[in-house]
Amino acid sequence: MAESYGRRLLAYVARHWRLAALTTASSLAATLATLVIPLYTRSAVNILVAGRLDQLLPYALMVVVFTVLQGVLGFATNFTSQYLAQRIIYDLRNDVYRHLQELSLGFYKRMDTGQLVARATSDIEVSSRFLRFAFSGFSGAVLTLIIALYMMFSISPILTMYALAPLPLIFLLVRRYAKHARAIFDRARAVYGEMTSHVTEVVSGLRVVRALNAFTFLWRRFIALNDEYLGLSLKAAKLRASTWPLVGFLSMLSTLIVLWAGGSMVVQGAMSIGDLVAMVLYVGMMTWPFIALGFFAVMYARSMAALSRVFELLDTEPEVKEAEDAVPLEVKRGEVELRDVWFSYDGKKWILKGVSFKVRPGEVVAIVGPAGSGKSTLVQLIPRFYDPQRGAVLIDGVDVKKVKLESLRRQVGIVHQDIYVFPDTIKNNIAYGKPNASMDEIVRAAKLAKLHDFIKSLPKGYDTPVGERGITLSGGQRQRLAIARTLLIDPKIIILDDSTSNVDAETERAIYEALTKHFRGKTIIVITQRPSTMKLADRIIVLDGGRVVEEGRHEELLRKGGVYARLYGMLAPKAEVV
Amino acid sequence: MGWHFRRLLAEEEAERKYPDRVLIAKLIKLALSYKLYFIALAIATFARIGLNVLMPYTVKFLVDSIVSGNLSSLAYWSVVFLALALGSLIMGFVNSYSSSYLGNKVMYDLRNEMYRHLHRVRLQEVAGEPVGKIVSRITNDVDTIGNVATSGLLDTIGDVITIGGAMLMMWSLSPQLSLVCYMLIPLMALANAAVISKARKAYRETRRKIAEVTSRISQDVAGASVVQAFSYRKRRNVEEFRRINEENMRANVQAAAITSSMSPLMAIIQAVGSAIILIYGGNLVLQGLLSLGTLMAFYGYLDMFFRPVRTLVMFFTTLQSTLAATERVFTFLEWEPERDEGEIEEPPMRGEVEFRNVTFGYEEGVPVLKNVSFKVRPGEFVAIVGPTGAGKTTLVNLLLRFYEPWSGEILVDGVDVRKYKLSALRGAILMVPQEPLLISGSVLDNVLLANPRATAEDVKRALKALGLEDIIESLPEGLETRVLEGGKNLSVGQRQVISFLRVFIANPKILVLDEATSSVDPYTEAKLQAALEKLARSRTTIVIAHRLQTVVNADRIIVLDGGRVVEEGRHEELLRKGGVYARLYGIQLGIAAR
Repeated sequence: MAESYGRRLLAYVARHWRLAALTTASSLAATLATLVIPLYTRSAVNILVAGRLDQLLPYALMVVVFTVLQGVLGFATNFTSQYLAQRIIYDLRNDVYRHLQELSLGFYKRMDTGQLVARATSDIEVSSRFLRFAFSGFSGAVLTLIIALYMMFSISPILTMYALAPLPLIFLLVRRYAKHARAIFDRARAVYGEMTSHVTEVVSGLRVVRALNAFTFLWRRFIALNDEYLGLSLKAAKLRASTWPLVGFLSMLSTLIVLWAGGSMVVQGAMSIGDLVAMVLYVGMMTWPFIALGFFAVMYARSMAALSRVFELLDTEPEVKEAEDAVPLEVKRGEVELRDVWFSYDGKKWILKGVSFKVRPGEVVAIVGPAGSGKSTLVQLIPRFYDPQRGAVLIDGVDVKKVKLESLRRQVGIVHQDIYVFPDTIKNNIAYGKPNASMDEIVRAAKLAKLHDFIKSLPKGYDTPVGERGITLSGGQRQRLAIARTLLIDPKIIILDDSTSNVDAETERAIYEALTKHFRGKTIIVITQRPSTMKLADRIIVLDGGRVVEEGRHEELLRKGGVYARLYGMLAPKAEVV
Repeated sequence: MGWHFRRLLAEEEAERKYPDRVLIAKLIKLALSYKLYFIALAIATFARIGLNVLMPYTVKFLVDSIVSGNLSSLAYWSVVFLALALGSLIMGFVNSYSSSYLGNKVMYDLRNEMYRHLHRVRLQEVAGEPVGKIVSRITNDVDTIGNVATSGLLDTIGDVITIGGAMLMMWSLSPQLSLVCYMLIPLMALANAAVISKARKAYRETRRKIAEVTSRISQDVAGASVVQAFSYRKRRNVEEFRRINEENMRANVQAAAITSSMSPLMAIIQAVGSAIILIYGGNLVLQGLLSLGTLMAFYGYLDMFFRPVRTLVMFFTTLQSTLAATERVFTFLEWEPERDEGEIEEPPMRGEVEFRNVTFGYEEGVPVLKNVSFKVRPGEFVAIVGPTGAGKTTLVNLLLRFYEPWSGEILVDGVDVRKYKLSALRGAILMVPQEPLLISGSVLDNVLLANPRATAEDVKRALKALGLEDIIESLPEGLETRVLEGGKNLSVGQRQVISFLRVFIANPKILVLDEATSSVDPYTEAKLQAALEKLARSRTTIVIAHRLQTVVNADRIIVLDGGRVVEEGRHEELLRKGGVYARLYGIQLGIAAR
């Protein structure tokens, strides 16, 4: 599995193969420059010891030249590798975003928002950071390891063996560190997140928190989180403290071994001082490759896990797919028909069991029924957010599966039960479905949704930021905003899924009056719990247990004494008194 | 999330109220709160620095013993080197751990203190501030402070000492050569300063850009239902995202270019240093003025300059934003707490509520309540109705003493609310808000919010008594079901059940209920209504009413309009009267004249 994901990532690299090649080349060149320096230093020292000052200058100059070269190549490597990583992030992220736009609503209902966002952001970054490391740091580290080893062996195999003895421990230490640190940091991040959302909850509900005298309870919870966070931080601190000073020590130990053992060899005349200096310099270079090797294994595993999440997302097929030969829909009359529709979310439990009805052009139909009767599901089939397992949904006699999705959604406007407000201005929120709408059109929509007066009362009016970026709207205001958003696109068929439940009764009535007046002749389908709204409908369809059980006007249904009368008769117990 | 980041960045540049030195003094005081660890940290930091500074010095002796062929001296200095390395290892451990410990402890305490303070401050202090801003004081700002107050300050001192120590050692080895090497320090500082301040700006830009990317993705994911409903916008969305994404890439590439430019700059300085040591020092060696070992030691000392100079420059470039964070934390702690000067510790037992000539407003000169008086007898069920903005919620705010009236008084059991301790007063009155407060955790956790001593058994009994079992049972895991943020996975009815259970469990003398406006299905509606009647049975109940049943069944209805009590009486009486109430009631039934 990981293999094929790795290969797919390489396909992204291949798009920028020149850059990748350049990165690798400059990384290797920088490494070579670094590795050459001890050689010239060795010669310089030997010359010094021999006392031939006239020959020193060229060698010293070479040290300077290569040091500068190393720096410049280091710059090139660092820059090109980051550039490469950024290009890949850019491409992958565009692909993920484009794919997210294609996926069906059912997918979003199943997925956690935070996790999805993480796939498009941090998961992509983790994998490309790994790539960057592999192309620049790691390739250099491996080359350093090979060449430095070769050089050291050629100077003195025995001394090399001694010097290298402590270094594998560095590899093990770093690997242990990377493995545990990751687990600790992941958990710590989660706890920190919980702590942040806890504080957010408390701050936003502070008035009620006070009224409930809830401090004791909340304090216990907060301190538990804070305790856990402290514990994890200290665990990480211990891990850090027991790793890095030890790595430093081991590296120093190698140097010491070279100095001691090598020094003895020099004294015995088995090695020149210049060789010894070169050995000391090479041994100093060996620490990093071992650290890099330790990291590599863990980074590889981690990036493959992240990558699998990214590609899994890209491989998810949209549940609702446009037919190959789909034609644009043109709603002329606005007739909606459900023909023996069966639907289930999980393939086990049927939510709709053979629903059939027809909404005539220009009719206002209310769909009512107890919680869980399938009302919301039913209306979501009309703009094709889901496909029924059996039966068909037809608009003006055309199966919605056979039309272009874009044309369908342009003409069927739906306001959902839970409203999303974009972190943007009120104006842009209303204009979401018609970004080039004129101010007049926007104001008209807001007036129809009875939101205009409220907007006008705000100092910045239509330019007031809302959502997480600005003021918080009440439930009713959000619903009215969503209604305005849908009305602006002037759809041929309007569906309101219990979208005035938080609006007070007076305003609600005003909205429906404006709606039916302004959109006379258009088909309107409304889900509602309020009798006052039901009364406005030309016809009421009563749903129960996934089936249409009654149909008719308010008074007819009341007289009939069935489900509707039972449900809504008691809502206005003393209506006759008035 | 993204926007929140933006605000933080803007604040880094905001003007400050306190001068730097006051804030620095506060930071130092914080660092000293764990003296033992602080002392351990200080000793370890300085010891480690001392050992590190001595290390190249021993190298000098090592090399010189080799050159002079003295094996026993080589062995001696090797042992010294090993001892120093071991000492540095131990000090490194102590240093690393104690600095983390200290930093985390300070953050831990500060967070607890701030959290506790949050529960005490006057609501007015919090009301004007966006939620995210307050939250980030307790989270991000504390992080910044915790790191700097402890290891940051000491490390900075340590860096100064390192540089000073290295300079001193070099001087003692060879004054001539050191003087030349010293010149590299300002060069390094300049190079660092040039790059670091630019890099900081560039990084700020990358954070800004990635915040935009993240916020765009999360809003499209969170708002998937809207995005789908207007799916014909797809091409536009993709194009907009591509632009944001590209800007993010550009910002990152630019930051990469700036940070990468550090390496050639440092390489040049290092090359110049090497050249000086090799050529000038080599000359000295040849003239017999310097040993080869000393030359090697100089290499070591030169290396010692790089990191400290860098971190020092870094410290000073980030100092301002650190101080800004410090100020935000301390001004938060200075927010005024609620007044709690009452002396009566016993909660009121009868449950009588009286408003006596109360006038109050949130803004000066704009009264919301005008000379309001009414009395609710113990055990009575009173509904308060009135159009939006009539002052209904304000009544509750005053009764719970979130605000003080301008004039008049509010009495509970005949005693002015100011004479009770806040905990006593609020222990006797429980509010059920329009939108129930839901915290993440289980449903059970949420029920126990107002009375943590109750058990799951108590809750089950309450469910039964109120006849609400089936509404909770419809949840996937009953009482153990997890509540997602804001309770988005619960229906309105289920949320209301949680609120009701809280009341039953906490058993207050007075219940204040702000009814939810949002409608639920008739079945749930009937259940909730029945439960409310049971809840109201043994206590005084004041309902801000939006529903017919509640109003119809109330013992008395108080009609508020424009901040005044305009009508009062039972349902039938008020209807007959044909005033404000009759009009409101008509609208709700949808039978007003059309």
